[in-house]
Amino acid sequence: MTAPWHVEFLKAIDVGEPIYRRCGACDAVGWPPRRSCPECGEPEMVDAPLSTRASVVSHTEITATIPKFSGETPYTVLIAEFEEGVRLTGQLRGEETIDRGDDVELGVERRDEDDWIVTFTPA
Amino acid sequence: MTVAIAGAASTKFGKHPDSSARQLFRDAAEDAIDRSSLAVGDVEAVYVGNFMGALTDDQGHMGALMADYVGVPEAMSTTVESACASAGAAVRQATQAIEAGVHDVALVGGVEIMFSTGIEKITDALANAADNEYENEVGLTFPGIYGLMASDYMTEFGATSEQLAAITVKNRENGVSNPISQFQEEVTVEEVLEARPIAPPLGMMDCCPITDGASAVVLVSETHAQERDRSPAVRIAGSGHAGDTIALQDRAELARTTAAERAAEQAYEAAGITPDDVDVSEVHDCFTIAEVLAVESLGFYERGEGASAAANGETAVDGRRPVNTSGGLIAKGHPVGATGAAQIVEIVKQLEGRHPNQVDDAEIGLTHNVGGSGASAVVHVLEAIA
Ligand SMILES: [Zn+2]
Repeated sequence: MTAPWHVEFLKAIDVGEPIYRRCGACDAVGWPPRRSCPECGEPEMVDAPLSTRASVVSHTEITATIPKFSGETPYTVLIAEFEEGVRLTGQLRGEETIDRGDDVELGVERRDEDDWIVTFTPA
Repeated sequence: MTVAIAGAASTKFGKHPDSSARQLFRDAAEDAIDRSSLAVGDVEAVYVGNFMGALTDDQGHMGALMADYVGVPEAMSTTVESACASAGAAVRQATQAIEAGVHDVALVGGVEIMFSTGIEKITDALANAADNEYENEVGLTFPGIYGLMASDYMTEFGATSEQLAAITVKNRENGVSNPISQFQEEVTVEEVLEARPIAPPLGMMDCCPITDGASAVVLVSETHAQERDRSPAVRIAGSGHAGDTIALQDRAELARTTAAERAAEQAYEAAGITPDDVDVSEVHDCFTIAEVLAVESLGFYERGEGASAAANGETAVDGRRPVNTSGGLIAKGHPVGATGAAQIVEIVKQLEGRHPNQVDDAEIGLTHNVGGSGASAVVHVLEAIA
């Protein structure tokens, strides 16, 4: 089940206002709902606006999956890095393949009520 | 107070459609207790590694269930869950309790029933070791996570699929002579390369199988063993347990397991040894790439150089750094919650000189047990008692 914070995170991407979290004490980066900083331990991580363009770090094609994605294989999952320094995992859209270093655009897809998925489309 | 391993045993790994978690664990425990020359009634505490009983078998509270069916329902018991590192963590916690003088004799092990559950449900259950929202919800499976790590490693260091395949070939060859091993047939590099893709660059034969099995070890304080005129042959010389972020995306480097580096450092320091002192190791090769990351995190190889180890024959039984002489998770099998204890069982056999793939003059052995994609790592250093 998707937690409320996650639905909120995905909806923000959908309306074009994606966020990440930044530590007010040491500038470390992360994702909601982190509050305690993984670098310095201070509970000072707060929302900051995130760009929508990222660069592919690694990718793989999933051919055997969990029941939720049954019948949707094969699909590609990738991790992309934003200029803010955070990395996010999502499914590739728009192309069959992608390479490390390629630019991708962040998006979301609605699958069902409160069920969203992070996507990346080649820019 | 030092802790010795008085007895250690595993069931056969593979399919056990006519058995159950409580029966398999009891079988392993009975064998381990028999080998220890102690009696069931001597067991003061039971620590059980288990990952998915509550998810697939409607069974939680495994510690109490196992203590009950081993025949010591009144003993203190607990379930230890650190995903695939559950039993490694259980062994370490029991060791620390004995060191602290809390128990003299503890039965520690793990059990997992996976086969009867069905592949999609098992894939789903295994995914529980990852970050649900950030990984599972985008359809990233467990092999997928390791596929991302392998892809990153190969791009970064120029490693090849042939080098990864050599790990499966080596481990499957070792499995042939190990009677408990799930797979007992050799395979070729070509067969590994041609196997069905699962999460490229990883194919079906880069992955460990789904396994039913149980392992158990009897831990005893050396003082207690002496008082009882027992002479266990192996002691736990040192251990380490460390962590990392649960989601792969939150790590600075994908193809690096820093939790295992930290756990290894702690274990080496506690044992007063260096990586070069290790004669034989059992490492967590849930996927071929995981064995590469393991030998690098343990300090056996520099980063980027671990991929060539199996292909060059260096990690073979007669190589200069034998790794996974049992067949590893890839051949022996991976009953998730039992694996950390199964590795200890195999190293005990090596240090007692009775392993089917015996390494000459093995005196110091190591186990490396990893949970999830590396958010938990437990390392043990074992030594033969002179
Ligand atoms: Zn901070």
